[in-house]
Amino acid sequence: MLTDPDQPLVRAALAGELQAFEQLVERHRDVVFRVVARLVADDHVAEDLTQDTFLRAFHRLEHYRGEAPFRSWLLRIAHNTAVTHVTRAGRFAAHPLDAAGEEIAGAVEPGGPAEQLERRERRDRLDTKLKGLGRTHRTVLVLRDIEGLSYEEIARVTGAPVGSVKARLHRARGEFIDVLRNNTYDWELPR
Amino acid sequence: MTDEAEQLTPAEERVRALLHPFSEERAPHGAALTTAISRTARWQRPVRRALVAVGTAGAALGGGVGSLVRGRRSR
Repeated sequence: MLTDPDQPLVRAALAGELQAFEQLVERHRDVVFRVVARLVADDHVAEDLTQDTFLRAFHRLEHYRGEAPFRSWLLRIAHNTAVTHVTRAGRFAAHPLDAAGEEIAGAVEPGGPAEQLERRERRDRLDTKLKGLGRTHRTVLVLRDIEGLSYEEIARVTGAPVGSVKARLHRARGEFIDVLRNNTYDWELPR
Repeated sequence: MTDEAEQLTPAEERVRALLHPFSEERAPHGAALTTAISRTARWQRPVRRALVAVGTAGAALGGGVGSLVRGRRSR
């Protein structure tokens, strides 16, 4: 059995304590949102899908066996929810964002207004490039290089074997580097 | 939770550094989102239980009727 800090909350939620489930939502809300937001076109949809993810998790909690960390189990639901959404919508969220209106939610940005604007523009450009990657490549890149998940966790979330995860990640990084190198914007990538 | 030491190329290191700010993003309207999830879970739970109970009862009834019909046919 793993030493997963979420297990006591899961047990309490299963015993009917809704407050325990609420704490699980608080703990994992942001990571679920971030992963879903990179897979769908806009933040409003990502918010809806974050809510769907937690409600599905809530109703399926009795099926969670505790063999893997709760976060992996939850992210698998989030991943599947987002994939189902984009498949039904017939598109894979490769749409540029409305950069002018986008904000980094909740982030407190240091520096003056000009510096903040520049950083935000840069972030939006990067987000657009990231969303230009195919879903499978984008998923592994997000889970590994943004969220810092282990290969095993990524395998659990995506349902792919660990070997495939490693290969996909290698290809995804290569593709993303090519995309950024071929961009007119200078991403300061070493040769 | 990165458990493997990776040998990244300088370009891959740069990609990771570029992507890092995304890891600090938070869900917009976070507190409101938690409240909405909790509120929905609260009202859905009894409804779902009732639906599951009705479904189970229906399946049991269907199974019973099926056994009865099969029993009559075999006589």
